[in-house]
Amino acid sequence: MKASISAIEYYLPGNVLSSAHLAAEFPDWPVEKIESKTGIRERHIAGAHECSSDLGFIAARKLFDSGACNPDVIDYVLFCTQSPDYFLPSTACLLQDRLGIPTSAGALDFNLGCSGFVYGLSLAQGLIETGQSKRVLLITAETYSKFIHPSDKSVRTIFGDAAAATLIEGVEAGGGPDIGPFVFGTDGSGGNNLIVATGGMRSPRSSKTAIAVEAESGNWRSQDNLYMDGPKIFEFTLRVVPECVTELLSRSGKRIDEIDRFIFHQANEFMLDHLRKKLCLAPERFSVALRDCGNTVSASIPIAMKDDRDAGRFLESDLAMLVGFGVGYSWAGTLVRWPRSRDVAS
Amino acid sequence: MDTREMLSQAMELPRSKLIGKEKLAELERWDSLALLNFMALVDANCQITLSADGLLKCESIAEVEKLITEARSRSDESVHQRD
Repeated sequence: MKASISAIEYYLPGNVLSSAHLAAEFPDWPVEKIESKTGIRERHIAGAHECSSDLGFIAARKLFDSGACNPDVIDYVLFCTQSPDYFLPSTACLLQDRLGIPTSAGALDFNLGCSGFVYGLSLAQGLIETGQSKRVLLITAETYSKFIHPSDKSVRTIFGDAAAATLIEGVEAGGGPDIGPFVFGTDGSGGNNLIVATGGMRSPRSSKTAIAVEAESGNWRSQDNLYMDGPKIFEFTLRVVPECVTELLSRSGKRIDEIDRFIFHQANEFMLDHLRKKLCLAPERFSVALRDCGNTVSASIPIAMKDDRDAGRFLESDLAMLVGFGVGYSWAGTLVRWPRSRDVAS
Repeated sequence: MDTREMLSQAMELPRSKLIGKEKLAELERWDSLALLNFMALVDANCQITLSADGLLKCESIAEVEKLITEARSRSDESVHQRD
C-alpha cells in the first residue's frame, strides 16, 4: 500500500474583513497599498463562538458530502491547530464523535502552524504505509483572528481563518510514491518572532497581560495577542525555503523542470513573489491563492491545492512540490502526485 | 544597483531624494514595509540575505552599506570554503 491524497475540501467562515474595511480603519494604509503588498482582498473571520473545530467540522462534512467517502470508513483523525477548543481534551477526539467516525479510529491533535499540512501528510503516510490505518482524515484548521488585536494592522491585514479537510488513503503500490520524500527543519531560536506569549502554563493570562500598548509603526497589542516580527520572519524564509527546495530535489532525484506545480504556504503575495523569482519559476507553475482568504496558516496549502484542482491547474498525475514554513521556526517540504481517479477507486 | 538605489526603490522615492547622509529615522518612508522591500532587493540583486536585526540597528545609509559589505564578504568566504 502507498498513501495518496484523494480529496480536499475547505471552509471559510461567513464574516468577511475586506481590505476596504481595513483601509477605512487605518487611513495611512490605503486599499491599493494593502492589496499590492499582501495580495489579499478579503479575509474570513470566525464568529465569536465559532472555534477551529467548528470550521474543521464543516470542512470535513463537505468532504463526506462530496462523495469522497463516508465517515464510517475513516480510521484515523489528525487535527492540526494552534487555536484548539480546550487545553484538554484533544479537539480530534471531539470531532471523531461529532463527525460520526467509528470509536475504533485513532485521533490526535498536533500543534503546528504554517508547516502543519506537510507534517500532517508525513504522519498520515507513516500510519498508512506501516499498515496502522487505511484512511486518514487530516484537518488543518485555524482561528488566528482570535489572537489578533484589532489595532495591529501588521497581522490583521494578513491572516484569515479557515479549515481544510484532506482525505489520505491507502492505494495499491506501483508507479512510484504519491507522497514524499520529505524534508523537515526546525529552529526554535526563532520561537519568539511569531508568538502568542500568554495563555499557556509558562505565562498564564491575567488582567496585566491583557493591557494593550502601542508598539512599532503605530500598531497596538497586548501580551495576549499575536505578535509577528515581519523582518525576522522574512529573513528566516529567505534562508530556509530555497535550501528546502534544493534538498527536496536532491532527495527525490528530480530536476526542477520535472515539477509541474509549486504550492507553497500562502504567507503573503510579496513573499511568494520574491520566492518565485528567486527560484526562477514561471508564474504559471506557481500557486498564489490568498486573494479571497488571506494567510490561513496550516490550511493555506490544501486551499491552494483545491483551488488549483478546481481551476484545472493541478491535473491528475501532476507532481507538485509543497513547502510549509513559519511559526516555530518550523518548515517542511514534500512532493505529491495527484492520483489518477482509477488508482483511488481501487 | 547600489545601496542608495535599492533604498530609494524600497521606499518608493526618487533616488535624487536621498543624498546619502540622512539618518534612517528621519526618513518618513523607512517603515516596516520599506525594510522588507529593501531586504528583498538586496537578496535579489546581491544574492545575500541580510540580518533583520543588523538592519534594524543601522542608523544611517553608510551603516547599511557597511552591513551589506560585511554580509557579502561572509557570503564570499563561505563560497570559498565550499570550493
